[in-house]
Amino acid sequence: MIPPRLVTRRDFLSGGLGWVGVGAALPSFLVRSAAAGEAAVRRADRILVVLLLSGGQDGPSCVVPYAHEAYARKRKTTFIPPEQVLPLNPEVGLHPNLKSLKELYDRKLLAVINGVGYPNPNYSHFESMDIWQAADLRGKAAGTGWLGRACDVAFKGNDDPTLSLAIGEGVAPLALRGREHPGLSFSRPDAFRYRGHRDVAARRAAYEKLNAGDGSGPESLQFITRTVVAANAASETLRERAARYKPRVSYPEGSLGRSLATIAGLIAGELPTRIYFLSYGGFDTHADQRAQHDRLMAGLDAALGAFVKDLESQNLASRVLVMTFSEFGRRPEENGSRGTDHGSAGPMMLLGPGVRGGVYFKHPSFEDLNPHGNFKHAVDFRCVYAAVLEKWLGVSSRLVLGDGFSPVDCLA
Amino acid sequence: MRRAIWIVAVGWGVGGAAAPGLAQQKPDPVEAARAVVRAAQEAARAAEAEAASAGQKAEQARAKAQRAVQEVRWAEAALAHTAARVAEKARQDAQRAFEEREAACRKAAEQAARLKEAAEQAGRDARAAADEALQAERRLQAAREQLELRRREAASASVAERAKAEKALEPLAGAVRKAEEEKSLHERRSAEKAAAAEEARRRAAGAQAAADRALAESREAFRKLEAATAAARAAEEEAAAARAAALGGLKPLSAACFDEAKARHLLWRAGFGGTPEEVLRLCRQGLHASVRQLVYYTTVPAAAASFEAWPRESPHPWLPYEAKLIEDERLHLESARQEVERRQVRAFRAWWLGRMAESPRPLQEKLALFWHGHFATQYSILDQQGFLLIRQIQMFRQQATDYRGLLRGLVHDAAMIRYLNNDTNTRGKPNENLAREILELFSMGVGNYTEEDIRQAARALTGYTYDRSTGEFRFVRAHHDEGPKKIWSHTGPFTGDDLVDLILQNPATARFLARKLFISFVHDDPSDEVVERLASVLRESRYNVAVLLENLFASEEFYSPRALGSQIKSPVELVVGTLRALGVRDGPYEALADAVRRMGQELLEPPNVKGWEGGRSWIDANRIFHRYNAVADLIESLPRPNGTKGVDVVSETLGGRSFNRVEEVVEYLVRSCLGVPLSEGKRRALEEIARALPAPSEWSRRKEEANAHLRALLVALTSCPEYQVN
Repeated sequence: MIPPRLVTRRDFLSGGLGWVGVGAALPSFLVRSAAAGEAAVRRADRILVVLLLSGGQDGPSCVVPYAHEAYARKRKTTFIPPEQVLPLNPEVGLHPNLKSLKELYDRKLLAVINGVGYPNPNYSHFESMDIWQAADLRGKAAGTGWLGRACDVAFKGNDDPTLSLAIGEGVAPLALRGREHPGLSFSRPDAFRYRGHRDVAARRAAYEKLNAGDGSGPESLQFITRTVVAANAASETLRERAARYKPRVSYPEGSLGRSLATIAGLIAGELPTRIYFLSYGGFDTHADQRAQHDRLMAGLDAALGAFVKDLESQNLASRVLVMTFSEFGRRPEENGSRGTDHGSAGPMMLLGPGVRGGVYFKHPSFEDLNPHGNFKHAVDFRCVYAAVLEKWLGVSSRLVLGDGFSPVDCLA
Repeated sequence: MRRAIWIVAVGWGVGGAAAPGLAQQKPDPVEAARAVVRAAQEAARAAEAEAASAGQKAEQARAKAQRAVQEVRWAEAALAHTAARVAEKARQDAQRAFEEREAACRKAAEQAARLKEAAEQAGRDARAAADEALQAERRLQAAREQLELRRREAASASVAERAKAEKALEPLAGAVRKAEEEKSLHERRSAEKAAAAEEARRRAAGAQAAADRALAESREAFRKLEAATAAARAAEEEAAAARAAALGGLKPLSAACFDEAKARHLLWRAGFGGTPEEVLRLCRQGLHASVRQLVYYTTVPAAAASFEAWPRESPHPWLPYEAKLIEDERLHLESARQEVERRQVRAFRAWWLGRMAESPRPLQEKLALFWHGHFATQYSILDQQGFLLIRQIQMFRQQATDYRGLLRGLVHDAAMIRYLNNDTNTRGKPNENLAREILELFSMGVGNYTEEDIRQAARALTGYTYDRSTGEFRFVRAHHDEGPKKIWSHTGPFTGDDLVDLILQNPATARFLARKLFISFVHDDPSDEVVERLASVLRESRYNVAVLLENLFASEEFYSPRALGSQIKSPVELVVGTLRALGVRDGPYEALADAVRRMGQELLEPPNVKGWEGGRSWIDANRIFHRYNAVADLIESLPRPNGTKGVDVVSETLGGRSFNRVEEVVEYLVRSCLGVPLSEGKRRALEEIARALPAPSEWSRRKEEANAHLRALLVALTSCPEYQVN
């Protein structure tokens, strides 16, 4: 069997450009990296995959504080009996459906950080989400996200639109938005193209002229033009790399598995992408939480398990760190609908060969709560971000997050 | 208070200084000093009371003055309104008078033309008769000459022959007599015809004079109509300004500034755009009349079709027997119900898009969509009870301009109650979901309430639930928390309805809604002053959104350069606007509902309770391709009755208009499609594509060929950044 030849960046620049016109529509990253050549992509480059558990995950139903006496007392319908928990240490254990994650934990590839939050917690999905993504208590008003700022610092002048990618319907999330790096999002690589010109030369030429930027006109028009230019430039590469990819393992059905398979394909295809962002929804469990959360845990475990196996089988795992977060945790006390209302601190997970496996911080107390009856946080989420920035991406956390966030010592 | 303390301190000072003198008369100087203090305290209290009452009186006087000023404004507005109505009545009278004059003028002109024609005919007849008379005379002359000749011959002939010759003269003499008769007959006829022609000439001249008079009268009536129209427009403008002032709203645009670009802007923002003809019609109609027609749309007949939605388990004779079904039958029934449910929701999405594209009341649909995004409810959370959400959207349509009614309707709305779990919000076990979102997203915004207010509001909403089989609202008293609640500074045994009243009384609500409406309809950066003015309109009109929009759509801000062409079209606006601009009816609405979903605006499925974010969030690399591709697909692949595919640009979009050159076609389509100018280079790129078009004169003969090239032109024109904004 002849191994499939890797299409390199050079191939892409010399022949693979297809119809992307040279001139006004050509982003400068193509011109510049043509000169830089292969040096632009090094296999050693580290990749961060950020997984948002959206809706506000109930922490105790994921990292279960089975030794807390008050947990059993305050949780009735969402209670997980100690004998079902997959223990990590004498205090906490994983949800019974997180079997692959437990295995990774035993291999020292998983770090669990308890009680991650921030001062004066905001209980609105949107505002708290913005705070987490901006890494700024002003939320959306900060204007940029922490990963976007990290790109601004680390990749100054590099305007490759595929540096940070979000997989999923919708626009690139606030976290990826930097001053120079807007982030790029798509749901399915094969549908990521313009086909209105029907590949007729004259119509293609008109399309290119009508979508070239001359840097004039109102701001909203310029914004659209920039987006189209970047999309046209990235379209061909993404489709080609993703189409070529055959996963080595089977991923579970559903969008999380599909998206992680796409990411594995793009990593294997040597895309210069350093940051991937995706989300997994359904955690806003105000009512009948138990069954819903069990399903979510099973889906999460299967998809992440397959992703790690896939990467390991191709010797790519060492380049990848996965980080999970949620916009907030949920109320320690159940509501009247067999569910839980919006709360504050919750657990984060870091996954990959770069972590120092283990459990960090004690699970927050069910009895010593904040004035709104919610968990007190043990550590600020920006201290976890700081660790990822400093230790994994090699970016000064001070430039991205500001002063006062000492990294949690959870990465090697 | 500060003043009282100061007085007490002075009292102490006096007491202290006087102490040695007083000690001789009264043995207890401390008691004396205390008395002084008490007196001073009383004086202070009295002064304080007086100040308070004066303050109150001043406050009352100020409020009264304010009310008086406000009443003056309303009186002025009423006066201006009456004046405008009188002027409008005069304009209508002038219009009628002009129409009558014009009709009379047309009739007189027709009459004059007819009589002129008749006179000409009579003239021709008279000339012909005169001709014939002349001919008869000539014939008589000839006959006489003939007779004379023969008579001479007979006179000179021999006796024997004379008798024969004389005999031969007889018929000639007869012919002469006949010719004489004929001559006199024709002469008589000619004279008659000449007289008739003269008469006809006279009558024609009279009719012409009458027609000239009628024309002059008609011209005069037109001048009067023009004057009356100008007066009515001026009165209308004055009335609009007075109304805006009374409402505390935005200053109206000068009506003279209302041009084609502004009319197009209005059509797009108050609806989903339109054709260049509709833009011209608005322009002729004038600013205020156009705004009124769009905003008070109940004067326009509604589209007839409505959408009946059914509960998943609709009342059916089957129901009592369901318990007796065996497992297989139950599954079969269940899957049939799921299929019906799935189809119903699909059908509704398609129906709604069609309604937006075809309704003669576009603003009603635009507002229904606005409220769907504002009071966002996701179908996927409703356990396949689509009819609940469909009914909610019917409520948005029916009460689209009444925010009070909508907010009240919302706490009684089964879909919302289910979506935000209020059906499990019960006494002692409150669920805060609905209470929080009502305050945060539906009415006031973060910063106007505390976490404690949310807890109390949740208690007020306990027991607000719905009947699962009918989808009707139900208030379960046993689950309602009847205890007192403290919300802001109010305390009482509030219900959910009381909560709505408290929210509507809170000044933050009008500001929040005003800002959101402005951002949605104008641009995303209103000044605080503009928001304050619009909030005032909402308060003065008791949250009548039509009154706000009337003020907004006529305002200078609405037509400011930062508003024109500044908004990124939502997916629904993009698709529906394309249908309206191309003149397509009966579009493939189910497929288009899928298309808007891919672009990020699935109907009945906003992304979360905050609704669609709008603006730049519509655009990213992924969505821009979906937008371009969907519009291109619509233009190229629209199914047509005759089995072919693609928009029939020649008949539907260009509707038989005639063009001389391809540049004119490009110009017309650019005007149909774009609200912002196109650079010279881009226009040339379009003209390049248009060169392949057959000459316009050939289109009827080579229609399919022309259409194919016109579609390519439209696809290029719609796959560009300029088409994404309006």
